[in-house]
Amino acid sequence: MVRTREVLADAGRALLDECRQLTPDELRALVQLPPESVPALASLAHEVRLAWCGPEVEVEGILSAKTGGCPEDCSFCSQSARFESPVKATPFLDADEILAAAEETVKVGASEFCIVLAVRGPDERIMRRVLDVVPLVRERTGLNVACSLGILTRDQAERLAAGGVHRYNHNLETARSFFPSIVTTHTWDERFETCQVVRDVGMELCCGALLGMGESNEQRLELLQQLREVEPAEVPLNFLNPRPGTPLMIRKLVEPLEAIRWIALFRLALPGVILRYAGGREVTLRELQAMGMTSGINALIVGNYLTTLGRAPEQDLQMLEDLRMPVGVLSKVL
Amino acid sequence: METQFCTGCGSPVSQCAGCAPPLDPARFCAQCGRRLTVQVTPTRVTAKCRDHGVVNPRA
Repeated sequence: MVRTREVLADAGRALLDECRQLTPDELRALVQLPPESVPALASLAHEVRLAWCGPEVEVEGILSAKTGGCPEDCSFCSQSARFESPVKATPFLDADEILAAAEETVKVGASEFCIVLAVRGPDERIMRRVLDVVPLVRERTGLNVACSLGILTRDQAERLAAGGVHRYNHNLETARSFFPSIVTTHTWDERFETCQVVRDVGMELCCGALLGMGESNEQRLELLQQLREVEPAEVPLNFLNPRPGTPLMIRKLVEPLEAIRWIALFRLALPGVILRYAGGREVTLRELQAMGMTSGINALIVGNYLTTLGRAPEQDLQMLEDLRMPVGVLSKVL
Repeated sequence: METQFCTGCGSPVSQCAGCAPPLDPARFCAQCGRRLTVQVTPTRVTAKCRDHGVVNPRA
Protein backbone atom coordinates (compact mmCIF):
# COMPACT_ATOMS: atom_id res chain seq x y z
CA MET A 1 0.00 0.00 0.00
CA VAL A 2 2.91 2.33 0.74
CA ARG A 3 4.23 1.60 -2.75
CA THR A 4 0.79 2.44 -4.22
CA ARG A 5 0.71 5.78 -2.43
CA GLU A 6 4.18 6.63 -3.65
CA VAL A 7 3.42 5.75 -7.27
CA LEU A 8 0.19 7.74 -7.25
CA ALA A 9 1.82 10.70 -5.50
CA ASP A 10 4.61 10.76 -8.06
CA ALA A 11 2.09 10.72 -10.92
CA GLY A 12 -0.01 13.42 -9.29
CA ARG A 13 3.01 15.63 -8.77
CA ALA A 14 4.04 15.26 -12.41
CA LEU A 15 0.60 15.96 -13.87
CA LEU A 16 -0.80 18.49 -11.41
CA ASP A 17 2.21 20.37 -10.06
CA GLU A 18 4.81 20.08 -12.79
CA CYS A 19 2.16 19.98 -15.56
CA ARG A 20 4.15 17.46 -17.56
CA GLN A 21 3.28 14.15 -19.18
CA LEU A 22 4.17 10.90 -17.47
CA THR A 23 7.13 8.95 -18.74
CA PRO A 24 6.64 5.39 -20.04
CA ASP A 25 8.20 4.04 -16.83
CA GLU A 26 5.84 6.10 -14.68
CA LEU A 27 2.88 4.77 -16.66
CA ARG A 28 4.18 1.20 -16.36
CA ALA A 29 4.28 1.58 -12.57
CA LEU A 30 0.60 2.58 -12.61
CA VAL A 31 -0.33 -0.42 -14.76
CA GLN A 32 1.20 -2.68 -12.14
CA LEU A 33 -0.85 -1.35 -9.22
CA PRO A 34 -3.02 -4.04 -7.60
CA PRO A 35 -6.77 -4.16 -8.33
CA GLU A 36 -7.63 -2.73 -4.91
CA SER A 37 -5.76 0.45 -5.91
CA VAL A 38 -7.87 1.08 -9.01
CA PRO A 39 -10.34 3.41 -7.22
CA ALA A 40 -7.43 5.56 -6.03
CA LEU A 41 -5.98 5.54 -9.55
CA ALA A 42 -9.38 6.57 -10.91
CA SER A 43 -9.61 9.38 -8.38
CA LEU A 44 -6.27 10.78 -9.53
CA ALA A 45 -7.36 10.53 -13.16
CA HIS A 46 -10.53 12.48 -12.37
CA GLU A 47 -8.52 15.20 -10.66
CA VAL A 48 -6.20 15.39 -13.66
CA ARG A 49 -9.12 15.58 -16.06
CA LEU A 50 -10.64 18.49 -14.11
CA ALA A 51 -7.32 20.30 -13.91
CA TRP A 52 -6.41 19.86 -17.59
CA CYS A 53 -9.83 19.91 -19.28
CA GLY A 54 -12.36 21.41 -16.89
CA PRO A 55 -15.72 19.99 -15.80
CA GLU A 56 -17.57 19.96 -19.13
CA VAL A 57 -18.63 16.78 -20.86
CA GLU A 58 -19.07 16.64 -24.64
CA VAL A 59 -22.02 14.67 -25.95
CA GLU A 60 -22.08 13.14 -29.42
CA GLY A 61 -24.39 11.13 -31.63
CA ILE A 62 -23.07 8.81 -34.34
CA LEU A 63 -24.64 7.39 -37.46
CA SER A 64 -23.71 4.54 -39.74
CA ALA A 65 -24.62 6.19 -43.03
CA LYS A 66 -23.42 3.24 -45.08
CA THR A 67 -23.49 -0.09 -43.31
CA GLY A 68 -21.66 -3.34 -44.00
CA GLY A 69 -20.02 -4.63 -47.15
CA CYS A 70 -16.61 -3.29 -46.14
CA PRO A 71 -13.70 -4.88 -48.01
CA GLU A 72 -11.39 -4.70 -45.01
CA ASP A 73 -10.89 -7.59 -42.58
CA CYS A 74 -10.77 -5.88 -39.17
CA SER A 75 -11.32 -8.92 -36.94
CA PHE A 76 -13.54 -7.11 -34.48
CA CYS A 77 -15.95 -5.63 -37.01
CA SER A 78 -19.38 -6.97 -37.96
CA GLN A 79 -19.38 -4.79 -41.09
CA SER A 80 -16.63 -6.63 -42.94
CA ALA A 81 -17.85 -8.38 -46.08
CA ARG A 82 -15.27 -11.09 -45.38
CA PHE A 83 -17.09 -12.53 -42.36
CA GLU A 84 -20.42 -14.35 -41.99
CA SER A 85 -21.90 -11.54 -39.93
CA PRO A 86 -25.65 -11.12 -39.47
CA VAL A 87 -25.28 -7.44 -40.37
CA LYS A 88 -26.76 -6.90 -43.83
CA ALA A 89 -25.12 -4.33 -46.06
CA THR A 90 -27.16 -1.22 -46.83
CA PRO A 91 -26.38 1.62 -49.24
CA PHE A 92 -25.45 5.21 -48.43
CA LEU A 93 -28.40 6.88 -46.74
CA ASP A 94 -30.21 9.76 -48.41
CA ALA A 95 -29.47 13.28 -47.22
CA ASP A 96 -32.93 13.43 -45.62
CA GLU A 97 -32.22 10.31 -43.59
CA ILE A 98 -28.90 11.70 -42.40
CA LEU A 99 -30.54 14.99 -41.50
CA ALA A 100 -33.24 13.18 -39.54
CA ALA A 101 -30.57 11.35 -37.55
CA ALA A 102 -28.77 14.63 -36.91
CA GLU A 103 -31.99 16.13 -35.62
CA GLU A 104 -32.37 13.18 -33.25
CA THR A 105 -28.88 14.00 -32.01
CA VAL A 106 -29.78 17.63 -31.34
CA LYS A 107 -32.78 16.55 -29.28
CA VAL A 108 -30.59 14.64 -26.84
CA GLY A 109 -28.44 17.70 -26.19
CA ALA A 110 -25.43 16.73 -28.25
CA SER A 111 -23.04 19.19 -29.86
CA GLU A 112 -21.30 16.72 -32.12
CA PHE A 113 -22.56 14.44 -34.89
CA CYS A 114 -20.35 11.90 -36.61
CA ILE A 115 -21.18 10.42 -40.01
CA VAL A 116 -19.56 7.00 -40.36
CA LEU A 117 -19.19 4.89 -43.50
CA ALA A 118 -18.05 1.27 -43.68
CA VAL A 119 -15.47 1.73 -46.43
CA ARG A 120 -11.72 1.38 -46.90
CA GLY A 121 -11.68 4.98 -47.99
CA PRO A 122 -14.00 7.34 -49.83
CA ASP A 123 -14.31 7.23 -53.62
CA GLU A 124 -15.29 10.33 -55.57
CA ARG A 125 -19.00 9.54 -55.37
CA ILE A 126 -18.83 9.27 -51.59
CA MET A 127 -16.77 12.45 -51.34
CA ARG A 128 -19.36 14.41 -53.28
CA ARG A 129 -22.26 13.09 -51.23
CA VAL A 130 -20.49 13.78 -47.94
CA LEU A 131 -19.51 17.27 -49.04
CA ASP A 132 -23.14 17.89 -50.01
CA VAL A 133 -24.62 16.72 -46.73
CA VAL A 134 -22.16 18.18 -44.22
CA PRO A 135 -23.16 21.83 -44.80
CA LEU A 136 -26.84 20.85 -44.68
CA VAL A 137 -26.40 19.22 -41.28
CA ARG A 138 -24.44 22.18 -39.96
CA GLU A 139 -26.92 24.75 -41.21
CA ARG A 140 -30.09 22.94 -40.15
CA THR A 141 -28.96 21.65 -36.77
CA GLY A 142 -26.03 23.80 -35.64
CA LEU A 143 -24.11 20.63 -34.82
CA ASN A 144 -20.40 20.24 -35.29
CA VAL A 145 -19.99 17.57 -37.94
CA ALA A 146 -17.36 14.89 -37.79
CA CYS A 147 -16.76 12.15 -40.35
CA SER A 148 -15.24 8.70 -40.38
CA LEU A 149 -14.66 7.58 -43.95
CA GLY A 150 -11.53 5.46 -43.67
CA ILE A 151 -8.16 6.08 -45.24
CA LEU A 152 -7.78 9.53 -46.86
CA THR A 153 -5.51 11.07 -49.41
CA ARG A 154 -4.24 14.54 -48.68
CA ASP A 155 -6.49 15.97 -51.37
CA GLN A 156 -9.54 14.31 -49.86
CA ALA A 157 -8.61 15.55 -46.40
CA GLU A 158 -8.20 19.09 -47.68
CA ARG A 159 -11.60 18.96 -49.35
CA LEU A 160 -13.29 17.66 -46.22
CA ALA A 161 -11.66 20.37 -44.10
CA ALA A 162 -12.73 23.04 -46.58
CA GLY A 163 -16.20 21.52 -46.66
CA GLY A 164 -16.83 22.06 -42.98
CA VAL A 165 -15.79 18.75 -41.40
CA HIS A 166 -14.28 19.98 -38.16
CA ARG A 167 -13.15 16.62 -36.77
CA TYR A 168 -12.18 13.38 -38.50
CA ASN A 169 -12.25 9.97 -36.86
CA HIS A 170 -9.60 7.46 -37.73
CA ASN A 171 -8.69 5.06 -34.95
CA LEU A 172 -5.31 3.46 -34.49
CA GLU A 173 -7.36 0.74 -32.74
CA THR A 174 -4.37 -1.05 -31.24
CA ALA A 175 -0.61 -1.01 -30.94
CA ARG A 176 1.50 -1.22 -34.07
CA SER A 177 3.02 -4.51 -32.86
CA PHE A 178 -0.42 -6.13 -32.42
CA PHE A 179 -2.18 -4.66 -35.44
CA PRO A 180 -1.21 -7.42 -37.94
CA SER A 181 -3.01 -9.92 -35.69
CA ILE A 182 -6.22 -7.93 -36.13
CA VAL A 183 -6.13 -6.50 -39.66
CA THR A 184 -4.32 -7.74 -42.77
CA THR A 185 -5.93 -5.70 -45.56
CA HIS A 186 -4.22 -2.48 -44.59
CA THR A 187 -1.34 -1.57 -42.34
CA TRP A 188 -1.06 0.30 -39.10
CA ASP A 189 1.25 2.71 -40.90
CA GLU A 190 -1.49 3.57 -43.39
CA ARG A 191 -3.70 4.47 -40.46
CA PHE A 192 -0.97 6.54 -38.89
CA GLU A 193 -0.45 8.42 -42.15
CA THR A 194 -4.12 9.30 -42.46
CA CYS A 195 -4.05 10.59 -38.88
CA GLN A 196 -1.14 12.84 -39.74
CA VAL A 197 -2.84 14.09 -42.91
CA VAL A 198 -5.99 14.95 -40.96
CA ARG A 199 -4.01 17.13 -38.57
CA ASP A 200 -1.92 18.65 -41.34
CA VAL A 201 -4.98 19.99 -43.14
CA GLY A 202 -6.43 21.53 -39.99
CA MET A 203 -9.17 19.14 -38.96
CA GLU A 204 -9.27 18.00 -35.36
CA LEU A 205 -8.14 14.39 -35.14
CA CYS A 206 -10.34 11.88 -33.36
CA CYS A 207 -8.18 8.81 -32.94
CA GLY A 208 -9.26 6.01 -30.70
CA ALA A 209 -8.52 2.61 -29.34
CA LEU A 210 -10.28 -0.71 -28.98
CA LEU A 211 -9.26 -2.65 -25.89
CA GLY A 212 -9.89 -6.32 -25.22
CA MET A 213 -8.77 -7.91 -28.50
CA GLY A 214 -6.02 -9.98 -26.85
CA GLU A 215 -3.36 -7.30 -26.67
CA SER A 216 -0.99 -7.33 -23.70
CA ASN A 217 -0.64 -4.56 -21.13
CA GLU A 218 2.71 -3.74 -22.68
CA GLN A 219 1.00 -3.32 -26.06
CA ARG A 220 -1.58 -1.03 -24.51
CA LEU A 221 1.27 1.09 -23.18
CA GLU A 222 2.79 1.01 -26.66
CA LEU A 223 -0.50 2.24 -28.09
CA LEU A 224 -0.64 5.10 -25.59
CA GLN A 225 2.79 6.23 -26.72
CA GLN A 226 1.69 6.00 -30.36
CA LEU A 227 -1.46 7.98 -29.63
CA ARG A 228 0.71 10.68 -28.12
CA GLU A 229 2.64 10.81 -31.38
CA VAL A 230 -0.45 11.55 -33.50
CA GLU A 231 -1.60 14.25 -31.06
CA PRO A 232 -5.35 13.66 -31.24
CA ALA A 233 -7.88 16.18 -30.03
CA GLU A 234 -10.19 13.32 -29.10
CA VAL A 235 -9.62 9.71 -28.12
CA PRO A 236 -12.73 7.49 -28.23
CA LEU A 237 -12.13 4.52 -25.97
CA ASN A 238 -13.89 1.37 -27.13
CA PHE A 239 -14.08 -1.97 -25.37
CA LEU A 240 -14.54 -5.07 -27.48
CA ASN A 241 -18.13 -6.19 -27.67
CA PRO A 242 -17.57 -9.54 -29.42
CA ARG A 243 -19.65 -9.60 -32.57
CA PRO A 244 -21.30 -12.74 -33.92
CA GLY A 245 -19.57 -14.09 -36.99
CA THR A 246 -16.32 -12.20 -36.51
CA PRO A 247 -12.98 -13.82 -35.66
CA LEU A 248 -13.06 -12.15 -32.24
CA MET A 249 -16.56 -13.38 -31.37
CA ILE A 250 -15.14 -15.84 -28.84
CA ARG A 251 -13.19 -13.30 -26.84
CA LYS A 252 -14.34 -12.41 -23.34
CA LEU A 253 -15.30 -8.91 -22.28
CA VAL A 254 -12.77 -6.78 -20.43
CA GLU A 255 -13.56 -7.02 -16.72
CA PRO A 256 -15.25 -3.89 -15.35
CA LEU A 257 -12.59 -2.88 -12.85
CA GLU A 258 -9.86 -3.50 -15.41
CA ALA A 259 -11.75 -1.25 -17.82
CA ILE A 260 -11.80 1.46 -15.16
CA ARG A 261 -8.05 1.03 -14.68
CA TRP A 262 -7.47 1.61 -18.40
CA ILE A 263 -9.82 4.56 -18.62
CA ALA A 264 -7.79 6.14 -15.82
CA LEU A 265 -4.51 5.23 -17.50
CA PHE A 266 -5.63 6.75 -20.79
CA ARG A 267 -6.44 9.99 -18.97
CA LEU A 268 -3.13 9.97 -17.11
CA ALA A 269 -1.21 9.26 -20.31
CA LEU A 270 -3.19 11.76 -22.41
CA PRO A 271 -4.17 14.41 -19.88
CA GLY A 272 -5.42 17.07 -22.27
CA VAL A 273 -7.49 15.04 -24.73
CA ILE A 274 -11.22 14.68 -25.05
CA LEU A 275 -11.53 11.11 -23.75
CA ARG A 276 -14.80 9.70 -24.97
CA TYR A 277 -16.81 6.73 -23.82
CA ALA A 278 -17.50 4.80 -27.03
CA GLY A 279 -18.56 1.31 -28.04
CA GLY A 280 -18.85 -1.54 -25.60
CA ARG A 281 -19.16 0.48 -22.43
CA GLU A 282 -22.62 -0.76 -21.46
CA VAL A 283 -21.76 -4.45 -21.68
CA THR A 284 -18.25 -4.02 -20.26
CA LEU A 285 -18.76 -1.62 -17.38
CA ARG A 286 -22.34 -2.52 -16.49
CA GLU A 287 -22.96 -0.82 -13.11
CA LEU A 288 -19.62 1.00 -13.19
CA GLN A 289 -20.52 3.43 -15.98
CA ALA A 290 -20.81 6.38 -13.60
CA MET A 291 -17.46 5.43 -12.09
CA GLY A 292 -15.92 5.74 -15.55
CA MET A 293 -17.11 9.33 -15.65
CA THR A 294 -15.06 9.98 -12.49
CA SER A 295 -12.04 8.10 -13.83
CA GLY A 296 -11.07 10.49 -16.60
CA ILE A 297 -13.83 10.35 -19.19
CA ASN A 298 -15.08 13.77 -20.34
CA ALA A 299 -17.16 12.92 -23.41
CA LEU A 300 -19.59 10.26 -24.46
CA ILE A 301 -21.53 8.86 -27.34
CA VAL A 302 -25.17 8.88 -26.35
CA GLY A 303 -27.87 6.66 -27.70
CA ASN A 304 -27.15 3.96 -30.21
CA TYR A 305 -23.91 2.98 -31.88
CA LEU A 306 -23.32 2.01 -35.51
CA THR A 307 -24.95 -1.41 -35.52
CA THR A 308 -25.77 -1.99 -31.86
CA LEU A 309 -27.99 -0.23 -29.37
CA GLY A 310 -26.90 1.88 -26.43
CA ARG A 311 -28.83 2.65 -23.33
CA ALA A 312 -31.44 5.41 -23.45
CA PRO A 313 -29.88 8.89 -23.79
CA GLU A 314 -32.01 10.01 -20.85
CA GLN A 315 -30.09 7.60 -18.61
CA ASP A 316 -26.77 9.13 -19.60
CA LEU A 317 -28.03 12.68 -19.24
CA GLN A 318 -29.40 11.82 -15.80
CA MET A 319 -26.03 10.32 -14.89
CA LEU A 320 -24.30 13.56 -15.87
CA GLU A 321 -26.81 15.61 -13.91
CA ASP A 322 -26.38 13.40 -10.85
CA LEU A 323 -22.60 13.81 -11.13
CA ARG A 324 -23.03 17.58 -11.61
CA MET A 325 -21.11 17.43 -14.85
CA PRO A 326 -22.25 20.15 -17.26
CA VAL A 327 -22.68 19.32 -20.95
CA GLY A 328 -20.47 21.53 -23.10
CA VAL A 329 -18.41 21.81 -26.24
CA LEU A 330 -14.79 20.83 -25.88
CA SER A 331 -11.73 21.42 -27.98
CA LYS A 332 -8.25 20.16 -27.51
CA VAL A 333 -6.51 21.51 -24.44
CA LEU A 334 -3.06 20.01 -24.72
CA MET B 1 -47.37 -13.48 -34.90
CA GLU B 2 -45.69 -16.54 -33.44
CA THR B 3 -41.90 -16.47 -33.30
CA GLN B 4 -40.56 -19.30 -35.44
CA PHE B 5 -36.98 -18.23 -35.95
CA CYS B 6 -34.27 -16.83 -33.70
CA THR B 7 -33.81 -13.11 -34.39
CA GLY B 8 -30.12 -13.40 -33.53
CA CYS B 9 -29.04 -16.14 -35.96
CA GLY B 10 -32.08 -16.99 -38.09
CA SER B 11 -32.22 -20.63 -36.98
CA PRO B 12 -35.59 -22.26 -36.23
CA VAL B 13 -36.48 -21.75 -32.57
CA SER B 14 -36.40 -25.52 -32.16
CA GLN B 15 -32.63 -25.26 -32.77
CA CYS B 16 -31.87 -21.91 -31.08
CA ALA B 17 -33.77 -20.52 -28.13
CA GLY B 18 -32.37 -17.03 -28.74
CA CYS B 19 -28.73 -16.04 -29.11
CA ALA B 20 -28.91 -12.31 -29.83
CA PRO B 21 -26.39 -10.48 -27.66
CA PRO B 22 -27.75 -7.88 -25.26
CA LEU B 23 -28.29 -4.49 -26.92
CA ASP B 24 -28.36 -6.01 -30.40
CA PRO B 25 -31.34 -5.33 -32.65
CA ALA B 26 -33.05 -8.23 -34.36
CA ARG B 27 -31.02 -9.32 -37.39
CA PHE B 28 -33.31 -12.05 -38.70
CA CYS B 29 -37.05 -12.12 -39.26
CA ALA B 30 -38.87 -14.00 -36.50
CA GLN B 31 -41.43 -15.23 -39.02
CA CYS B 32 -39.23 -16.52 -41.84
CA GLY B 33 -35.62 -16.39 -40.62
CA ARG B 34 -34.58 -14.15 -43.50
CA ARG B 35 -31.85 -11.58 -42.81
CA LEU B 36 -33.28 -8.15 -42.05
CA THR B 37 -32.27 -4.77 -43.38
CA VAL B 38 -31.55 -2.85 -40.18
CA GLN B 39 -30.83 0.84 -39.74
CA VAL B 40 -29.63 2.10 -36.39
CA THR B 41 -29.74 5.85 -35.70
CA PRO B 42 -28.86 7.71 -32.48
CA THR B 43 -32.27 7.20 -30.91
CA ARG B 44 -34.11 4.78 -33.19
CA VAL B 45 -33.74 1.44 -34.92
CA THR B 46 -35.76 0.08 -37.81
CA ALA B 47 -35.81 -3.38 -39.36
CA LYS B 48 -37.34 -4.58 -42.59
CA CYS B 49 -37.89 -8.08 -43.98
CA ARG B 50 -38.06 -8.57 -47.72
CA ASP B 51 -41.21 -10.69 -47.30
CA HIS B 52 -42.79 -9.35 -44.12
CA GLY B 53 -42.06 -5.65 -44.36
CA VAL B 54 -41.27 -3.56 -41.28
CA VAL B 55 -40.83 -5.75 -38.21
CA ASN B 56 -40.10 -5.15 -34.54
CA PRO B 57 -36.32 -4.67 -34.31
CA ARG B 58 -36.27 -5.25 -30.58
CA ALA B 59 -37.92 -8.65 -30.74
